[in-house]
Amino acid sequence: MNILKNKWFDYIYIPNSKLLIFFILLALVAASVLGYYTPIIVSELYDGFDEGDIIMPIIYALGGLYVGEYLASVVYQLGISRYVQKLLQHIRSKSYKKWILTYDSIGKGKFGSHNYPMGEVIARILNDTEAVIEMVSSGSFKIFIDFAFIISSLISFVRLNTVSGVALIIAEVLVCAALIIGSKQMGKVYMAVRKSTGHLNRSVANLSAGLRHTFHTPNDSFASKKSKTAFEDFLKKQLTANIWDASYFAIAESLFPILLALLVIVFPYSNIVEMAIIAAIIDLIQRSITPIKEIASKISGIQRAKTGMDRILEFNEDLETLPHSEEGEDLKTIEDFKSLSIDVESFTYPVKGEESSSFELKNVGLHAKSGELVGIVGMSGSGKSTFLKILSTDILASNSLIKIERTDHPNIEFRGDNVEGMSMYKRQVSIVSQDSHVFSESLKFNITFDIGTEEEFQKFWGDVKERIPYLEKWGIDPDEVVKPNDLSMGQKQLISALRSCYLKKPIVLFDEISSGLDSELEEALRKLVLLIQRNSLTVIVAHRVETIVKAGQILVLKDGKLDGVGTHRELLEKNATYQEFISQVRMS
Amino acid sequence: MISRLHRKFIPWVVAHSFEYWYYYIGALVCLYYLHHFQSILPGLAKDLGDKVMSDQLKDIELSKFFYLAFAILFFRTFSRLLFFYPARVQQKNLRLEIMQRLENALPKTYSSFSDGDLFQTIVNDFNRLRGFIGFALLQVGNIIIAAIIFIPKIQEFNEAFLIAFTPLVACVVLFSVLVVVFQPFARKNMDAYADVQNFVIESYSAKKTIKNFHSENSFYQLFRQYSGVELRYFFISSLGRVFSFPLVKLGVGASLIWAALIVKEQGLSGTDLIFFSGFLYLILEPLLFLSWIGIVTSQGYAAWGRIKKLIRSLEQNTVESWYKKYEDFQKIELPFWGKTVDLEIRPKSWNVVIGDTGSGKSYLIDKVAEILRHNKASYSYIKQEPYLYNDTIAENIFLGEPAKGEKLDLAKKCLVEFGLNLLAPTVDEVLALEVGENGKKVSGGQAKRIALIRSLVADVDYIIWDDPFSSVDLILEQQIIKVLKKDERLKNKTFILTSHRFSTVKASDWIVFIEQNLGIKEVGSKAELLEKESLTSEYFKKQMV
Repeated sequence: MNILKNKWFDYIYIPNSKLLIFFILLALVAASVLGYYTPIIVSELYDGFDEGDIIMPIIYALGGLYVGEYLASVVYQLGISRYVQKLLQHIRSKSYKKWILTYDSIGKGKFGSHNYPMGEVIARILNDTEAVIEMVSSGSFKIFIDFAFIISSLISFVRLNTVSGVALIIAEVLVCAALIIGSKQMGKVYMAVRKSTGHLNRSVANLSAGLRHTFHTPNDSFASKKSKTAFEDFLKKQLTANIWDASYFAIAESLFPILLALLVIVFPYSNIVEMAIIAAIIDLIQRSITPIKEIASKISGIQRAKTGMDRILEFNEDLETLPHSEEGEDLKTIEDFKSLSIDVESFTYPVKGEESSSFELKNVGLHAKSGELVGIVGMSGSGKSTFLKILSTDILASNSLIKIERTDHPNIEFRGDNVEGMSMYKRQVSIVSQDSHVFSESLKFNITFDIGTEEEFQKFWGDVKERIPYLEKWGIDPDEVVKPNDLSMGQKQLISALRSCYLKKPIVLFDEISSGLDSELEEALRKLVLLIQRNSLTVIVAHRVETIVKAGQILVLKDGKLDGVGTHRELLEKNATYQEFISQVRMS
Repeated sequence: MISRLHRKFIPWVVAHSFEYWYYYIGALVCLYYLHHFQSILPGLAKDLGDKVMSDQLKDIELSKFFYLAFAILFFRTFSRLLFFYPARVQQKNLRLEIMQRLENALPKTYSSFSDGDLFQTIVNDFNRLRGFIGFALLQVGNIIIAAIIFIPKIQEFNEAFLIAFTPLVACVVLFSVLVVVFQPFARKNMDAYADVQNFVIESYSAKKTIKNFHSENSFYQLFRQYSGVELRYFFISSLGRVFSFPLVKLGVGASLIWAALIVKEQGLSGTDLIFFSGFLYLILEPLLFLSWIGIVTSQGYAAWGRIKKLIRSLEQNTVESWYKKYEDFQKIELPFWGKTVDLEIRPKSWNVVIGDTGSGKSYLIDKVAEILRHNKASYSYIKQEPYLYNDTIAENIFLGEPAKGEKLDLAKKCLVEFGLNLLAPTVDEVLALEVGENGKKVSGGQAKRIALIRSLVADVDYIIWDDPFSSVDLILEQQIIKVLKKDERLKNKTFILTSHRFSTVKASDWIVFIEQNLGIKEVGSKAELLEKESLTSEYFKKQMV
């Protein structure tokens, strides 16, 4: 628990914010002092009326009090807003960094054991911090300064009249307690509304997205019938919640007469003989009602924020236990790559639940040198994608050995689940596949990922533009922001291939797309592969004959096993699977 | 279905008020009594002061305070409930109406609205509209009735006091202005938040790529940048609140001081000031909502604009000049690349439209679906990338109709033959399988096959499939076609497909070969086009080289 507390401190304290914290505390102290003088000045004001004349200095003091209160509030809120702004940037960045450093590969042990799904990552990094923002926008932080003011006012009033002061304090504490307890009950009702809202949102998103697709098939008003259930459930929950919150706030609203009644009840004991004291306590009641009214909602806001912070903390702690690359880890791309060899003895996918997986990759290996072009072919289900994933370490097969031979340095070698070796190996590999992502950032960013200098990029860009006429024809500018949705599959692949070419990795894996390429793009991609091949060992999962005709070796996979290795010519002569493959790609 | 969405904004608000007039009358009565009872309180407070001075404390009736508390509790609760209820019910009705309208409208009428836009309108815009009728109307009523009751009471007591409310009103107006002025930053903050969220979504789907290129640090920096922008907007938009919220207290103070000076000048009693301060706090409550009334109203109005935009799209005339009545559909006139083509279709057989990518196959059969719709023919059309509802496979196949009898048998048979039985140990379990959000738990190819079964099970004469077998390998494709051709229940159906695969074409009876700009290049039976010299056989031969 203690450790967790320290961690908490780590998370809510941001370095270099001492001045900010000083101003926030100063404002709180100022509010308390002003609160303390308020009943005194108010009672003196009314004393003045009692005696038939009020003195201007009291009026000035009262004016000063209000202005002071305004200033203290502004300074306090300003400080809080700034602090929250900095704090959130700090926490979010920290969480994002930790998350981006973890590996999501499929494998044994910690690997793939509990990768966070997308919704969860967004929830943890963004929505959880949102509760703190909400605290600012709903004014929850205000409650602290308001209470600092009210509490010192009450204490000060006790000195003016002990009995009524103490009675008021007790009454207000009870009211706060009652309101907080009531809000706990309301919390359940609100929770039901939140759930129902979530259900409604999901239903609407789900059903409205399907409308266009089921319109042309008899569907018996599927969407409106389904959504009606969600709408009705929401209405019911919401109406119940309305009854609760309407009466809850009405109770708060009826506090004034009840507290006045309290005054009357304690009159016989309180010995109030001056009108000034009555006036001061009525003023105090009026001032304190608003903060009291708000206490429940503000406290629940604070609780939500705390839960959010707890969840982020938990997220961060958990991420630390997952396999991850180290921050600032500087693993260089090697320059003396000689050859790659990989042997997979066997691999099956981890079984989830009752699913039985019959697929097995068995005794598949690859041995190739720098500058070589290797093709992999096979029918769907032959295991070629799995093999490529092992090569790219998206899958970590424990019964496998990956080895990079270097001319001037010791070899890099690792078996399935060794994170260090994997990090080093991963650095040497780049992959171009359908999963390769194109970002809605500039084309330049998409190619360089901000690695290298501007000159390096310009040189590269001039070079490829010259070699690949398609780029000129496409007319895309490096500084232009790419819109991934407007790109064809082929264009996306071209961008990720450019990326691989720019970043010059010793090993490049290429998962060719199977259809939807026009001839110009196809040619552009082929030229790029040649460019890449000059510097790297290139492994291509091929769907077209032209791509692999000139390959140094072609691996033919069938049912998870290696069915044959050889050149196009050799295989065409003697390998039945390869012959079938060729006839099929030609036919389709 | 009662239509509520055909009106303009103001007439709609009026119609809504009339529809639920008895609630609103009740609500206004409650508001009246609420303020009436509240307006007794300042007098009571003053009375307390007076009685202390004249030492008559024993005369105060304690029960009066509790009666008042109860009356306030009662009328406040019901004034809120009576305003909220119609707004909530209306929201439900409107959402249902838009859903039904969308469901019955040709998808092309709302093609300019993305799925996200539809979601925004159905969820958020109707919520803003609800906010307007449930909240803004209530607060407007609240302010008006408070003014009607409070002003004469204060006037009656001491006319000079009215002027002392000026600082408070001025501060509240300033407060409202500040809130409204800073509102756009809240909007920008929200947009920037969406950007950060999109960035995280993108990082998520791209994590493999990021890790592959060891570019974590670049992305970390980029994240800081996005997040920084959002938080800066957050800070700016919070400035409005920082300066405006405490203004209200300042206004209360200034009004109180002004009133104190009046009391001093006119030589009144201090208890008169107690009376004044009582009203000060009473008026505060409705006034504080002034800015929100503005914001909620403008949001409600803007939401109505967006809703109407959608409605207008749905109501546009969809009848095209080329729509004609057909007895059978053996020869239909369709627009294609700026001209008209005659598309021949053989009934009760397999028709396939072939052509290069981008030649307009999808466009053409989209039009076929439209003309069938116009002629009220029974048909089912499955697009290239079909959508699965987040529901069970059974629901996705039967779309809410009871899964039983012959249809169920057919569905089960298809599931097995389409290779979908591998999803679970038994076919019944396959049917009960949840496909998840956006059909995420099944692959794209499996989703497509489920959609194909959906149209086979539907009791229709025409089945239109856009590139149905693109994600199926050749062996499975042959198996599927064989089964479909054999099944008695499907014998009388007319299939119209698009394809670029030779294998699919070989299995069809009637071939339409189209080309961009040219229109229909060649048409004929399989025997004519594949076995003899023809453009079609040449086309496929060229592909095979």
